[in-house]
Amino acid sequence: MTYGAALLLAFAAFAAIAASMDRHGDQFGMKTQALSSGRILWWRAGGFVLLGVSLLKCLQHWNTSIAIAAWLGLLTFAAMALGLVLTYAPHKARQLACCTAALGALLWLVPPL
Amino acid sequence: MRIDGKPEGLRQSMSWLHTWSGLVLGWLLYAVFFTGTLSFFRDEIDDWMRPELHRSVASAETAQLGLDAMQKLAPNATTWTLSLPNARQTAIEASWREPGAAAGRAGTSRATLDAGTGERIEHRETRGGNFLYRFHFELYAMPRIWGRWIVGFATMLMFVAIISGVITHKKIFTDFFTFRPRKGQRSWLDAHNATAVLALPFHILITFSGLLLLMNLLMPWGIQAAYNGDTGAYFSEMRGNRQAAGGGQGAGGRAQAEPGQHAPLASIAPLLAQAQQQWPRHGVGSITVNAPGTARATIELREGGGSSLVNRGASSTLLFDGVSGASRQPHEALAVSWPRATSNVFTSLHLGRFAEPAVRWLLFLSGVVGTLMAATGMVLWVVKRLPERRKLGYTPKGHRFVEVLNVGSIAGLSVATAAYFWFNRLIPVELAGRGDWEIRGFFTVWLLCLLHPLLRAPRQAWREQMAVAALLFALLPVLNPLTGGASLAQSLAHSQWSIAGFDLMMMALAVIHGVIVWWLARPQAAARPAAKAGVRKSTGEQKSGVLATRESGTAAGTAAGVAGASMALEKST
Repeated sequence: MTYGAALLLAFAAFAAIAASMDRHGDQFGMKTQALSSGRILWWRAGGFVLLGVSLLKCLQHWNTSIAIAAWLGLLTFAAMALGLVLTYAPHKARQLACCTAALGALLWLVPPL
Repeated sequence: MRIDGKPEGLRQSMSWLHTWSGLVLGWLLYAVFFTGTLSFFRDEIDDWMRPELHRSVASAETAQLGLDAMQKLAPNATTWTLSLPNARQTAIEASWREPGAAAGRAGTSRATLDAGTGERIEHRETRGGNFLYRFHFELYAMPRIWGRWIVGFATMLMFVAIISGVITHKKIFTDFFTFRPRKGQRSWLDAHNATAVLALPFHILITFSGLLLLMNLLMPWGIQAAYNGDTGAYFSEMRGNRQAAGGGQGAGGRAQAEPGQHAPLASIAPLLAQAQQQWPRHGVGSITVNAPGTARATIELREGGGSSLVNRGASSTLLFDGVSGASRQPHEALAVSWPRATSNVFTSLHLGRFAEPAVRWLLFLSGVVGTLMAATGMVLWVVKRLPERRKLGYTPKGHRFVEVLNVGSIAGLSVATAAYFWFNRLIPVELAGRGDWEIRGFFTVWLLCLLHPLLRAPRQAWREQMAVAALLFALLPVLNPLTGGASLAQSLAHSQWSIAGFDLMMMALAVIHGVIVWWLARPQAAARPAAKAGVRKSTGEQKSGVLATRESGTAAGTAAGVAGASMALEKST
């Protein structure tokens, strides 16, 4: 559960960060040029908060040293997954990010096995 | 480093440094990454390469059977240690010390016991996963010190390549999630950047900790100064021995003096149950009996894995009286100093030395990403020079040399590794020195793979070697039961995860190589219309694309701004 929750939340976090980026914002249906810099900042901050939540889940499951190492490993694969989604199914990125955020939050609440 | 002597910026010089430090040691680093990544599954490889162990199936009685077997095998030993079967090991690995045996490893006797019967298993001679593990940091067929120096030097250059690569790649954040397929050099660069940047924490960790592990060899001066040349004292303190003196070993020594008092060992089952309650996550990993058979006997149970990296993944223990089975106070755990804790975290991560299988898989997959990074970088070197080659109208010798070595060192290493596992099963068991023959076979195949691309066009060479590798990997799970091992169905049914895991990993490798073969066999990119104006319609795609480009599909949505970016990046290098 821990891996799942942390991975899904990291994916959603990266999606939020990507949504605030010039290159990827359009893919999430956000016209980044038109948005105020404040809104963009909110998305970015939200992404980093989600990353923190994902780290928190790891810290609950593992000792600090292993948790950080495992979290960094999970981030790699979450980011790669998002990169592939943005390349091959950009129009689904938004829905997918919402789904992973919801599922990640759900798994977050499940006690570790 | 411009020939014309014009001034250059930081980024250009870093790009130069990155290109050449990467190329010079790229092949070596690729091999180090590849074999090192496989070494995360060293135990699994060891189990698979000794098919005699495959009939060993653990049960609830395994620990008791093992202790009973030791009673017969080494009744007079001062200490027994039984490493119990787990997800990475299917048999009991037993070791013991006879009274008066030499200190250290030399005085330790070892045996492998069947977890289902307790019988001793004689297995074939093989270097197993240890060969790949050793190769990744000290190479082969040269004095160990040389190999370690070479790998240490390469690791240092790897560190240089990482840092200079980050500086060179100025769009590191805007390109963060970007991959643009089917664009020749552009795609290779994206793949190289993605595998490098997204796994950067891992790359830094693994190279830096690799340097830490070799540090004592590469830079011994600090230790020599601080310990007045007594390096032994340094290592002793590193392991925490100075404070920990007088641990379990003492008990065995004392017991030797009074062999007369015989006492049977307490039953192990209730102790195991007690331990299981205390360690629900990892269970019992090993049993150490000091002074077995005497009234002073003690039984020490060790947890199946540690939960912190600070103490090198050390696990906790429970101590019992060996005759009555009553619980005793175990030794106090030692506090770990900060510098040692830091070093421990890095090095034990590098070694993957802790229980959590999922974390090891994460490390393994990160290793795969690192391997891809090295491979894409080397292919990129060739792809990038294709326009130059076209302009010249012929292939410069240097380019051809790199191209040939790329095929032989990347695809060839896959073939050689698969062949190593085949030799393990095909070389007769009774052949003297068969372990060495397996290794000779490995290097012979690798050498042939280095020669083969000399005779073939590059794309054909890639395709043929990848096809051979895919075939060899795919048939290993079939070869396994035919040559005395447990079939996948059996190993899965008996929960022998080490054996099943190996077979499954080989199938995964076969799929990866098969996809690459399929990718190479597709109609060549040059024949298709260029995707977007301004992007090079590079015939380079002929050779481009082996490892990173498993994906197929269109570049929809990512085309915007590609032209500008690719131009800018090309200019910068």
